[in-house]
Amino acid sequence: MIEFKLNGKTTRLDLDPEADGEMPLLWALRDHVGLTGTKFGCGRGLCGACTVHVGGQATRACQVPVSAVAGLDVRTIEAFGEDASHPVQKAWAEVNVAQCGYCQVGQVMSAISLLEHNPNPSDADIAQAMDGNLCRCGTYPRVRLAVLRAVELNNKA
Amino acid sequence: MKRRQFLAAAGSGTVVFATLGAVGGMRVINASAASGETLASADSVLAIHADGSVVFTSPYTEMGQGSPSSAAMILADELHTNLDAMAIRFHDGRIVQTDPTFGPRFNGGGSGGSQSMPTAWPALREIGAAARTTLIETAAVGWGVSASECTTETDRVVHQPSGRSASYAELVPAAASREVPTELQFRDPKDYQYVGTRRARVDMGEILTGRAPYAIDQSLPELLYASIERCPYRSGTVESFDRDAVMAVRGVVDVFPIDPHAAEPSARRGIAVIARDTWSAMQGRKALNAKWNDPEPVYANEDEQWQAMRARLAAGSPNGEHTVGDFDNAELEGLEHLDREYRLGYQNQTPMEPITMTAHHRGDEFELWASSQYAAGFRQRIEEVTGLSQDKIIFHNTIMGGSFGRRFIRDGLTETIVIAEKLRKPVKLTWTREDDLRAGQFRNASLSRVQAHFDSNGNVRRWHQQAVGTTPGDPAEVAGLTSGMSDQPYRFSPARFEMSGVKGNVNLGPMRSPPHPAKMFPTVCFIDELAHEFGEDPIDLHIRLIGEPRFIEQNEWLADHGHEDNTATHVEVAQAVRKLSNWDAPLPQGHGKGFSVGYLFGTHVGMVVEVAWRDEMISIENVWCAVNCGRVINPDIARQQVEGGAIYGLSSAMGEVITTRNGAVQQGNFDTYPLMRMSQAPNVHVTFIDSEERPSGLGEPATPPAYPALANAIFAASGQRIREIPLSRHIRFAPSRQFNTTERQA
Repeated sequence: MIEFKLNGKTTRLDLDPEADGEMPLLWALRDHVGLTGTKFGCGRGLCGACTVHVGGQATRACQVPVSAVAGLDVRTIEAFGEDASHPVQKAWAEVNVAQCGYCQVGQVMSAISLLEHNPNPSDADIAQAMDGNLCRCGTYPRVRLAVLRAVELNNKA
Repeated sequence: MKRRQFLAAAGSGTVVFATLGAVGGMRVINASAASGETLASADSVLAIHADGSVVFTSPYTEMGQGSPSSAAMILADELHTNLDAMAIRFHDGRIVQTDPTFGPRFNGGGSGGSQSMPTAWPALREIGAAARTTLIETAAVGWGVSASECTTETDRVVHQPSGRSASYAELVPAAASREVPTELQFRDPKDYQYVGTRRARVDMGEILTGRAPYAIDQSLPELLYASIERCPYRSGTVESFDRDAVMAVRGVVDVFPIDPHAAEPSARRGIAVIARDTWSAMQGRKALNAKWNDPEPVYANEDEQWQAMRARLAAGSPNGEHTVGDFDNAELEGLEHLDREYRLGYQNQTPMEPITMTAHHRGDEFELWASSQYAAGFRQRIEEVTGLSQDKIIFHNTIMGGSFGRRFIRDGLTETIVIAEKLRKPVKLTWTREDDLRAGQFRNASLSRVQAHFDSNGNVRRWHQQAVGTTPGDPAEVAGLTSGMSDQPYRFSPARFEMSGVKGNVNLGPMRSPPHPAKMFPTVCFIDELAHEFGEDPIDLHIRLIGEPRFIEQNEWLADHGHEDNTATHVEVAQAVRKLSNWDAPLPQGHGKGFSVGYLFGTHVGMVVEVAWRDEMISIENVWCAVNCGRVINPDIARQQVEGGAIYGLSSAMGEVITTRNGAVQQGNFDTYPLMRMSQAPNVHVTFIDSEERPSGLGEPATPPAYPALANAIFAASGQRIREIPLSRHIRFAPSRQFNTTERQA
């Protein structure tokens, strides 16, 4: 049994902390919890599609063994509900960022983490925080605009 | 068969008026159809139910290009219905078999070649008009008035003289027993409410909350998970593997060799590991200790490949040739001569969602959850391998996490069928990123030689362009590599265009805009070199070489799709992008701009790229695109496609290449196959030429022009002329400066 807090709720997985402990959090979430918002893109921490928050930090779920999150707070896109009402999601919708959309959950999770730690990021801060999130559709200029828009929405709120 | 007769008799397409029912279980109530016939799956493009609900079964799949959302705008406008209430789903390929008019009207039933909007405009307008005209006539007959006195408001037919009106819902039962009129009443596009307006993708909310259902997200009770170790070489066979070691891996439930190669020559033989979850299946692969019987590759390394291509080029007697004017007797005495070689390495589509499919073979029925650019082809393959008839095949065609041509290919599908057939239990196959690159089906490698003779006044007196590509098949059949090479807008005469093939190590597949980069990179870069020789502005030279306006003879496929290539439009977009990019203004120190223009899939694109050269490194700062794609259906989705298409091309030109060593692909993930990252991305500025012409597509056209535009910009900024893709083999790239300053922009 591996136990951690997932999106605010205590979650117990029928996995052996020893024998299954090396399984990346990504696959535990997708195949064992059934939360599929977190995406698989590379398995090497190179693309950011699987970005989640562990202990409040943006983390690549494919690089964290599930045993390492025992007792920690894990937050996935599903924590933000079904109405896309987070300022980052609102900004993403306004700017019409997504094309195929597959990387966008990871982009949104990186942006939320950035703004939680740095509410008024510089352009360099944005480029740095978002650089680990690959987008093959080439939505980068809109990602940049959407982060800036999310800052505005946050500051209005 | 009876329903087919009805459609054929109606002669105007697939409109079904149906009773209230769940999607997937509609009962046709048209009197012409067999009574009680049930449509098991998506069988009509448009269905209007008796509760007033409207279901659009999109002939186009969603891979990020937004076509279903844009097509729905056309249909909603012509039908005169509320787009926000319209349900949209994807066709599953069966409609291609059940409706003989479907394929010819909808790009063969696939989504590709940038042909969604060009086919949607005439076909969905006609289908919308067929339904609307039928509803109008139904109302008119019921009221005993002339149909010509009736019109529509949103979801209502109105008789203006009497003020009577009826909702579409009320009219459906009676409409269902009427034939579709032969004379359709079309609405004037000027009265359209949606076409031409900015509207978001219909599923944006689902994407941003992680609920958008990609194929990789499919789950089923008792689902098994598969991962495949494949032969390193494309035609190798399995020699041995350590079954006991794999079965000892925690979570693994089975391991067996598979041979999808028999049914799909581009698929590889391999060993499937089946487990209780994806991770365990991947771990099982590590214990395989697999041995392969790989045949000798054609080339041991990339150098051998280029040498063979160069030798083929020098050998003459090309596999294909097109000559303009008296090439052989051209008088070359006293002329100057420029002779350049360009080459492009193999490249991979690399959609962010690796190929993933879930299937359940129940013995008498096959169910598949997957995404495909060609659903009918997927169904066909299932029938071929399983022997099941089409009515025993259920295909849930999902949205795609990108495709760029990759999901046309049926290698992953054939693997999935073979595994599901053996297991007879629900199974999900997930490719890793390494699988995506190592078992890739690539954009072709090509080597080109361009030669021009010209006089001291900058007149090109003879043009000679040769290209060699590779193929895993018969080298005599590589014309596709350079098809269109001779369809260029430039008035070269005499001129000769030659194309040849050599054997290659790898399988080839469609990648965003095949085969245009192989044509545009050499041609447009060479004209840039000529401009430098002549001391002439590159845009001026392109326009001068294009000459007087004329129509270019284009291939049959483009002509069949209703496209025209007027050279005046090349000039139009060239001049538009000159203005948009402020081409003639002085540039900051170290900056340079490069130009490109092309006609791609029916769309004309002019492009300017601006780079900065500092500290011996290039950063890409801005891209400007002027596009003539006829009428723009959804301006913001259109803009997205141009932005993304240009960035895709820049990324490919910068740093993407696939190489082989002893036949095996050397790249495995984003460290060795680097895509452009956000810090490297330029701003992209797009303008569309105002037009009411029939739309052309945008998924691909902005990609190829980026290759030469970037290389030309690098020359303008740094003086370095790079004639090889990827450019990163010769120059280093730095983050875009304008977004990496420490101060905030105002």
